[in-house]
Amino acid sequence: MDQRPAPLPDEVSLPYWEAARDHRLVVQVCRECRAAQFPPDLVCHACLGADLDFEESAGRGQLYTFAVYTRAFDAAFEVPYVLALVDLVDRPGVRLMTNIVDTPVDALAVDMPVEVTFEDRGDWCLPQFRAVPT
Amino acid sequence: MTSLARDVAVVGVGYSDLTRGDRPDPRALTLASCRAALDDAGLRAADVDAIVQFTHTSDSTEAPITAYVQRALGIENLNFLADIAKTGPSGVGPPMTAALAVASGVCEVALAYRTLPQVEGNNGRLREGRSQIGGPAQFTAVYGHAAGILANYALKKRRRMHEFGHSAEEYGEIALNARRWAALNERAVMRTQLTMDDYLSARVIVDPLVLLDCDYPINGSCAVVVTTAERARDLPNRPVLVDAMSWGTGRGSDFVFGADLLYGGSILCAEALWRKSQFTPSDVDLLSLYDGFTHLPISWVEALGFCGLGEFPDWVDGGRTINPGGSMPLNTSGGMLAEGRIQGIGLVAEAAMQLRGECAGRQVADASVAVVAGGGSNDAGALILYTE
Repeated sequence: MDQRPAPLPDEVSLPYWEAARDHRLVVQVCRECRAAQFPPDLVCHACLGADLDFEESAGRGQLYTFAVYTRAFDAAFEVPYVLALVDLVDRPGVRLMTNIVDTPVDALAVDMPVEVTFEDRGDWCLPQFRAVPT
Repeated sequence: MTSLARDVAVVGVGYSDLTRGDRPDPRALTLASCRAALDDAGLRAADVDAIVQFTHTSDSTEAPITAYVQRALGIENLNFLADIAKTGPSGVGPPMTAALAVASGVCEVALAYRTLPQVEGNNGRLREGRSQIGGPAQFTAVYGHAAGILANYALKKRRRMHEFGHSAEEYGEIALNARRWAALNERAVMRTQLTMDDYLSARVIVDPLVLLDCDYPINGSCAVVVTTAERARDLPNRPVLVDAMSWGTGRGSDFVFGADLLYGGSILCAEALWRKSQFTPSDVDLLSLYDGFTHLPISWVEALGFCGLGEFPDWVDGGRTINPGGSMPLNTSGGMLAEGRIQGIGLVAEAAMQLRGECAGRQVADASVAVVAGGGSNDAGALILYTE
C-alpha cells in the first residue's frame, strides 16, 4: 500500500488541490495586477491585493533544477526518485516543487522541457512532471 | 538625545569540548562555553545582563534556554534576552543580536551562545510517513522532500553548475580548504587531508550533493561576549569592534520558492553591509563564511563582491587564494566542515581570535578586518569585525 502522504488542503490551497483532482493544473493569479504566484496565499505578493483567483496553466514547464534521492530519508518513498523545481512556461514567476516521473534519470537535464501529469495520492491527486515525449 | 545607539565590541569567546560519538548533556556543554567566554573576557557572570541563543527546537532538548543559563550562572536579572528559534543566520544570529542589544543601550554585557548535540545534526535519520500533510509542507513533503535541507543544497548545486557551466571542483575547493586549516587547529574534529579525487568520489547523499559538501555534526557549544566599546577598553583582551551588520532575506523570502535559489538574501545583505561599513572588500584580511554546505562560502564570496557572480573558480585559483598562506584566508578554524558543526557562532569566535592575534600556527599575519557571514539562503546575516 502506498504510504506516501497526501496533501491536507486548507482554505487557501483547496482550489489548487481540487483542480489537481480533476487533472487540471491551476495557479493563483491576482485579478488586480495579473501576477501569478506559488504557493497560493492570502495576498498577492506583487501588489499586496487580496482579490485572487485560480487560472488554468497549460502545464508546460522548464526543469529549473533537480536532485536524485538514491537513499531513503522517508520510508514511504521508494528510491530512486527525482525531486525537482519546475518553472511554468505560461506563468512566469511560478516555480513548483515536483517529482519528475516516467523519465529515466539519465535522460534528465537542467532546462529541459517537461509537462504536467497527475498522480493519485490518497483522496487527492498530485501534479507531477515528465519529459515531453519527442 | 535618547539612551539608544553605541559602539560595541566582542570581548570574549569560549568553547566547550567538541566531541563526537558520545552524548554529553547540552546544559553542561552550554555552561562550559559560557564560563569560558566570560573568563576570556575578564568578566564575571554577575556582569552579564543579557543572554541570546539560537535553537531549532521550541523545547530545550537541543540546547538549554536562556532562562536556564541565567539560573545556572547565578545571574540576578536580565535586561535583554532572546531565544531565537528556527529562522535567521543560525548561530551567527546570537552574537549579531547581542551586538544589537548592547548597541541599542538596552543592556551592557550580552552573552550569546549556540549549543548543538551531534544527534540533532544528523539529517540521515529515516522519517516515518504521515498520511496527510498540511501547512507549507503540503507543497513539498508530498513529493518526498525529506531531509529537505540536504535536497535544497543538492538543488542549488546542480543549478549553479549548470548556470555557470562549472564542474563540482569549485565545491571541492571548499571541502579541501576546510581540512587544510583544520590541520592547524587542535580543536577541529576532521583533520585528515583530502584530495580532489576524494571529494569527487565521495558518497552521494542526495545527488549531486555528496558527504563532503556537508558540515560535520558534533556535540559542542560556543559562546561570545559582547559589550560596549567603552567598557571593552578596560578589559584584558584587545577589543574586537563591530563595524557593521545586516540581515538579508531576499525577495519572496523562502528557502525553496524564494526569488533567488542560488544566492537567497546574501546579495542584498552584502549590499546593505558595505553601505554601512567604513571598509571595502580590499580592506578585508580574512573571511569567516557559513559552511554548513560547501555551496554557501562560494555564494557568499560572490555576494560580498570579492569576485563577480559565477567567478569563484577563477578567484579561488585552485584553493591558493583561501588556503593557509593565501591572500584571502577562508574559515581558518576549519569551519563547520572540519572544526565541527556549531552553526556559525564558531566563525564569529574564530574571527575575533584572529583579530586578537591569538591563532598561533594558523594566525593570519596582521589581520585587522574580518567579514563573518551566516546562513546564505533567506536566512542571510553578516557582520564586519575589526581591531584598531
